[in-house]
Amino acid sequence: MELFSELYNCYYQVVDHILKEASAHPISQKRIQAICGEIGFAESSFYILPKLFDGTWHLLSCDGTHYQSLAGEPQSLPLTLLQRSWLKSLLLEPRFCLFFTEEEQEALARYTEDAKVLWRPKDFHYFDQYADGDDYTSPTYRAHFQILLTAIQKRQYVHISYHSMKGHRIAHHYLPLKLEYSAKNDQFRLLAIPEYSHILQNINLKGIQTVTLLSRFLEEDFDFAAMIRKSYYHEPVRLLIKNQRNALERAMLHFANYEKKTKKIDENTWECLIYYNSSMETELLIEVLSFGPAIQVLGPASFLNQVKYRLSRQIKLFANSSYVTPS
Amino acid sequence: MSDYQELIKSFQKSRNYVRDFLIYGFKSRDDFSQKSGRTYDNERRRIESWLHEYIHASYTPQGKTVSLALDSNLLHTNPLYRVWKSRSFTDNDIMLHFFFLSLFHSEDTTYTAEDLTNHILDNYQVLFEAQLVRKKANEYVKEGILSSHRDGRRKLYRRTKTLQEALPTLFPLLLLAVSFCQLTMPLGFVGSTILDNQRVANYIFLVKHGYYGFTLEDEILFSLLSAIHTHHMVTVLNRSNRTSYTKEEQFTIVPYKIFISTRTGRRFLCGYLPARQRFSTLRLDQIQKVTLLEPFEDYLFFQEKLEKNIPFCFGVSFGISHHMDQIRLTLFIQEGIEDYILTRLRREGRGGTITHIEKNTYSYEISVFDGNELMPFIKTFIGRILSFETNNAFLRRKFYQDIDEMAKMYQIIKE
Repeated sequence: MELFSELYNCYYQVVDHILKEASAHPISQKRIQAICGEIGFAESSFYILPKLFDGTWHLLSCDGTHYQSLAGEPQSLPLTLLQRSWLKSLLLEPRFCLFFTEEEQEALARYTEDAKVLWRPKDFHYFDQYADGDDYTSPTYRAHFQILLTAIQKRQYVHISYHSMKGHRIAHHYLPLKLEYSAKNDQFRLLAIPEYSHILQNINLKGIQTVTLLSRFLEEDFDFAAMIRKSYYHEPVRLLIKNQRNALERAMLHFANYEKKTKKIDENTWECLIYYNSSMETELLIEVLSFGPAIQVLGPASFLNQVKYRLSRQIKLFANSSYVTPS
Repeated sequence: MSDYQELIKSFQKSRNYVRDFLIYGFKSRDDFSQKSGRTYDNERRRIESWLHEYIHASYTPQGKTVSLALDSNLLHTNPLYRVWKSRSFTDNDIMLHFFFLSLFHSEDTTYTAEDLTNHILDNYQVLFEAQLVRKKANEYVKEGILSSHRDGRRKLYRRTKTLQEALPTLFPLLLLAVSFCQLTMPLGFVGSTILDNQRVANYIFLVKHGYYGFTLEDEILFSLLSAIHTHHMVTVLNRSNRTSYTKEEQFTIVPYKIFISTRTGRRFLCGYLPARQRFSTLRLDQIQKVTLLEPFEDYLFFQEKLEKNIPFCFGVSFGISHHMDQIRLTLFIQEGIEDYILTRLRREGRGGTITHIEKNTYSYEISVFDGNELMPFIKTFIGRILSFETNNAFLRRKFYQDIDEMAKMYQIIKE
């Protein structure tokens, strides 16, 4: 079993798509080029097309203008032992089992019988994961997860009643769009928009009391990416990173999950721009503070003021030995 | 650039380049001084080709810089999996692959290597040596795509069941689960290849706090997991890349666990170093090579010891001395209004003891091998820290110095 194998190569995927289409009907050179562009890497067509057209890869026949598959329609590839081993390892993970009934899990276990697990949950120690993650074995949680999965696939509205993070009970009709998992929180959140609104909301699955499918469906197209991009503040957080205590590498890793741009200012200083929205703001603020003096916030003013407010509050607390509430 | 190819034979060489582009995203040609400019140009061109949708190029006085712009809020797969899909192959490899797929159209069809060779010649007019066809068929048996059995002296090959044939009713749901797991589970790249084969893409699941660079270490992880399961010792070649210097060292280590940070995506090998008689951790992204050695006789004894030690690691450090760092943090938390801070302490405090001292005042206490690992966590409470006490004088001094330096940096107090 090899991870880095030609079996998973992108070129095989490109050729597979070309042969599939060329077995249904003859296709033009332009269409073959387009498939290369869609499935392959940016420069793949420079390497794949000459080999296909000059017969080095004797997989297509040409009638002068159009190409047909010589090998018929490629059959589905059976899962490799590596892929079956990966599935077998998943059966030990409660989050994978959320999707299946016990009988279905047994069927999967039989299918992967000949494979060896690649990992076991006990091989990993997530040392900074939150202690209050979701209970993936709770029957209610599992039922909610499956209803939401159905609703997202069918673009179906649901009625949800839940406890918000502040403890308020909220009930509303929503269009569920995505399920988002955070390894740090070890929890799922539903990204949904309330009916008659276009403001994206996050609902912790753990807080959901009831969820029921409604008989309404979204008919029109929906641009999720545009909605997320629109939610970002116009001005990114501007950070000055001083390379002390290996802060540069730590910061680059820590902020790797944000869209960011970094440039070198001088031998020891870098500027990093981080794009964020209101739902990320507090978390980002805390993360920046955790770096101490190695990172300086330059802007925007609203973000900088929050840093300054916390610091001045801190200085006042230190100055006051009797633990009085700072004003 | 006549020797330039988009595909590669070995993953290791490109791994460090991709990581640097991803993590730093600001290095120019001159910053990659370890290799020739030609090597840099080839690697950059390759990465730009593999990941063209995510590449951001900018021009600075230092030259052109290439970075990877990945917004985890919008990604349905890990773009870096594409790097794994760049293994080079021969003309014969790809032709035999598709001829096999065509000839083994049913799971009941069986062929000898000679049959396969003849059918390929008859059907596709390509002549291969039977030996080459046999070699490829045996490779596919190893990979689990074909199975083989003996019929007298003849070795017959047969295709294994496809996913649809094996699990016809479960198939759609399984692909949905794989869509999720390829993003979130170890060796998720493997899951992405299942979706590739089935021509399915994830459109439902996203990850918050997605750190994608980890996949570049998957080959190392793969070898280490295998050694963990068989209780073997390994030798690892470690290269630490501090900004100021690079250091290569070789360690013989008994691997036990992989420690993972959910906040940075960093992964560490945790193991026992027989030569130093202590547990230690090594960053996976710094491990260049893993060599399997013999089984370690006392594996279970040290495993038990490790389990007893883990609760005293706040992060990945087992400390450098036998003494423990005792930390006590006193916080101002307005009861009824700021209870979420208490929730944070419970949730993120990794087993520390929280005590209500008086109205609006709580303490958090913990005893760990290396108190230095708590410092970033403690600084997240800036604005509500009443006192920070520890038996480690260095840490105490460092904490108050840092706060002082920050206050001066933001002009809260004068220099």
